[in-house]
Amino acid sequence: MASSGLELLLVSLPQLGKGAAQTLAISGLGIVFSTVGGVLYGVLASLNLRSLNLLLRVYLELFRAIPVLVWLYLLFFGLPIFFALSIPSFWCAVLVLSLWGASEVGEVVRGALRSLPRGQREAGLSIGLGAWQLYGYVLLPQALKRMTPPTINIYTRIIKTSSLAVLIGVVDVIKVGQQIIERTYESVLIYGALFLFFFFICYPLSAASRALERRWTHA
Amino acid sequence: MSALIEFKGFNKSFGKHPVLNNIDLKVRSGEVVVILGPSGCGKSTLLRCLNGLESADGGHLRLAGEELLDPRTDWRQVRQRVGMVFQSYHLFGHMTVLDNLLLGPLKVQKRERREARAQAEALLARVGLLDKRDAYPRELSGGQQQRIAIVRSLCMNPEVMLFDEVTAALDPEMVKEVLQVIQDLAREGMTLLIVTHEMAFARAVADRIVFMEAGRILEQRDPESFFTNPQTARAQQFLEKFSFVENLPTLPAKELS
Amino acid sequence: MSFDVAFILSTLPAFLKAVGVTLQVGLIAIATSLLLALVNAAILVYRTPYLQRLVKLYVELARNTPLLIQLFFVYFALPTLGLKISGFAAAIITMTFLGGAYLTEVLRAGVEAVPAAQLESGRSIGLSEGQLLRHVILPQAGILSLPSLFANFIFLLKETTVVSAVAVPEILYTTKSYIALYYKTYEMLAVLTLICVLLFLPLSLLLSRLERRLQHGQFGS
Repeated sequence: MASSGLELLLVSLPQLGKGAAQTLAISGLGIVFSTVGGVLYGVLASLNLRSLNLLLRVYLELFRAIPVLVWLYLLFFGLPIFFALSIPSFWCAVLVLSLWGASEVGEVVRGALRSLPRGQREAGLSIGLGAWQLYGYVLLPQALKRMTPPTINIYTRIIKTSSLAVLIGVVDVIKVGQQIIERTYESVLIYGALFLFFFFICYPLSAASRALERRWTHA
Repeated sequence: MSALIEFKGFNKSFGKHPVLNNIDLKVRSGEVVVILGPSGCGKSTLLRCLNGLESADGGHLRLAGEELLDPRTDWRQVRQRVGMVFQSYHLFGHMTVLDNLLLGPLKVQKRERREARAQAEALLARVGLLDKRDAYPRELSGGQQQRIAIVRSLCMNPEVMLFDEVTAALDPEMVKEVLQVIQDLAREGMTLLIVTHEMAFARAVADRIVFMEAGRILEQRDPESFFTNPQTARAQQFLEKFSFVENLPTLPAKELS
Repeated sequence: MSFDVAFILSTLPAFLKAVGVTLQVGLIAIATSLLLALVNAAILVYRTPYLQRLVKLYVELARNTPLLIQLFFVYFALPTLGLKISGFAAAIITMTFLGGAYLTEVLRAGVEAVPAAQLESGRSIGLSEGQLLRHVILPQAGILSLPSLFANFIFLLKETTVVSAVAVPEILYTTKSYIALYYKTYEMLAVLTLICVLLFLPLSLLLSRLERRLQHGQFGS
C-alpha cells in the first residue's frame, strides 16, 4: 500500500510541480509586493501627518475587518461588476494577498520605526540629511532588525493564505491535488502530501524568524 | 561688526503654552555665548529653533543677515551651517565611527571621499580617537561617543556650533574630556552657543552669559560680572543652588522685569 | 447600476441565521481551543517529559499549515478511512486544532513574559512553587496574554469564513448560494461587506483600545 502510494506521488510529480509553481508564484509575488507596500506604509505612517494617518488607518481597518477570503470573493466577483474589469483569478489572489500583506507589514514597519530613539531622527536632520536620506541611511537600516522576525511571520501567513486561491478557481497545488484524488481516490495520501508541502516551506521560515529574534534581541 | 545670529522679538509656543517670549539676542561671529537658566526656561528650545528642529511662531531670526523664518527657507542648507550636538549624542549605531563622520560630507555635501576622509581623520586625531575610527558606537564610552558626535558636526564645516547640555548624560569622570574639546573650539574662534549646567566651565569659556527664565532673557553680561555680581534676584537664587559657600554678598536686588 | 433593496430585505432572515452559524462555529472553536491550550500550556510549564515534546510538535504542525488543507483532510480524507464527519463537525475539529496551537503559544508567551524579578521576590518572601504559580505567575500571565488572546479570538471568528468551503452555512457560504441562485451579485456582496464591517470592526477597535489600556497599566508610561 505504501509503495503504490509513493509510486503515485512520483508519477504525479510533474503535475503537482506545476500546481506548486502556481502556489509559490502567488505567494512569492504577494510577499514581494507586501514588502514594498509595507515599507511605504510604515514610512508614511511615521511622518505623523494627520490626514495621511487617517487614510492609512481606514485602509488597515478595512483589511482587518473583512477576512481575506471575503476580499478574494469581493474582488473576483465584484470587479467585473463595478469596474467592468475582469482579472484572472491568479492576479486577483496576488492583489488581495499584496494589499492585505502590505497592511500587516506596514504596521510592523511603523512600530519598528517608532521604537527608534527620537534623537536619531534629529541627529540625522542636524547634519542636513533630506527625508529620503534620513530614512534610507539612518532610520530604516536600524529598524531592520526589529522588523525582520515579525515580517517573516507575515510571509508565512501569506504562504498559508495563498491556499485560499483554489476557492476562486486558481489551478494551484491544491486544485491539482484534488484532480488527482478524483482519478485515484487517494485522498489521505494527497492531502497528507499537501499538508507536508506547506509544512516544509513554512516551518523553516518560522524557525528562522524565532532564531533571528533571539539573536537580535540581545544585540 | 554685524551679528552672525540675531533673534529679534522672537516668539514660540507649544500649543497655548508660550515657551519663548520676545527674545532679543545677537551673537557675533567668533563669540562664545553660554545660556544658563532653570529647567524649562526655554534654553534648549532656543537652540533647537536655530537649526529648525522647532518651528517659530513670530518675530525674526537671522543668520548672517538672512531671515530664516521664511517659508522658503531651505533648512537642509541652514543645518549644514549650524551644527548641533545633543545630550544623548545619538551616533548612528549601525555604522562605524568613520562612516558616522562621512555620512554628511559625502551624501549631503557631495564632497570627494578622499578629502572628507582626510578631514574626518584629522579631527578624530585632534580629539585623540583616531584609533577608534572602525569601532561601533556601542563599543565606546559616553565621553568618547560625545567627542565623536562633536567631530561629526564639525565635519560639515559649520559656521556655528550649538551644544545642548552635552555633558548632562555623562559619568562625571568623562565630563572634562568633552568640555576640553569645546574649549579648544572656542580658542580657535568658532562661534558657539552653549546650554550647560557646568558653572565653572561656563565661567571659563564664555564671552557672554545669557540668563533665561520662563522664556525670557533676564540678564546678558560677561561671565565675571554675572557670577560675582548678579543683578536680578532670580539670577542670584539660581546661582545659589550651585554654590556651597555659606555667605554670599547680599545685594540690593534690582529686579529687571 | 440598480440596487435591489427589496431583494436584500427578503434575504435578511437568511443572513441573520448565517451570522448565527458564524458565531456558533466561532465561539465553540474559541472555547475548545482555549481548553486545549490551557492543557498544553500546563504541560509546557510543568515540563512533563514526553508530553512536552508532543505538544511542541503539535504546535509546529498546526501553525505551519493552512486551515484549508487541515479542513479538507478532515472532511474529505478521513471518510475514506471510515470516519464520516459532517461539515460542521469538521469545521469545529479543524479550528480547534489550529486555534489550540495558536492559543498555546499565546499562553506560553504570557507565562514567560512574567518578569523574573517577580519570581525572585515571590520566592524571597517564602512562597512555595504552587503558591507562586497561583498568586504571582498565573494572574500576571493572564493579564499579559489578554490582548493576544483577544486578537486570536477575533482571528478564529474571521477564519470561520474558510469553512464555507465544506458547505457550512455561515455568512460567506450563504452569500455565495444566493449569488448562484439569483445572480444579485452586487447586492449580496454589499450585504456581506456590511455584515463583516458591523461584526468585526468593533472587535478590532476594541482590541486596539485594550492594547493601549494595558500598556499604560504595565509600564505606567
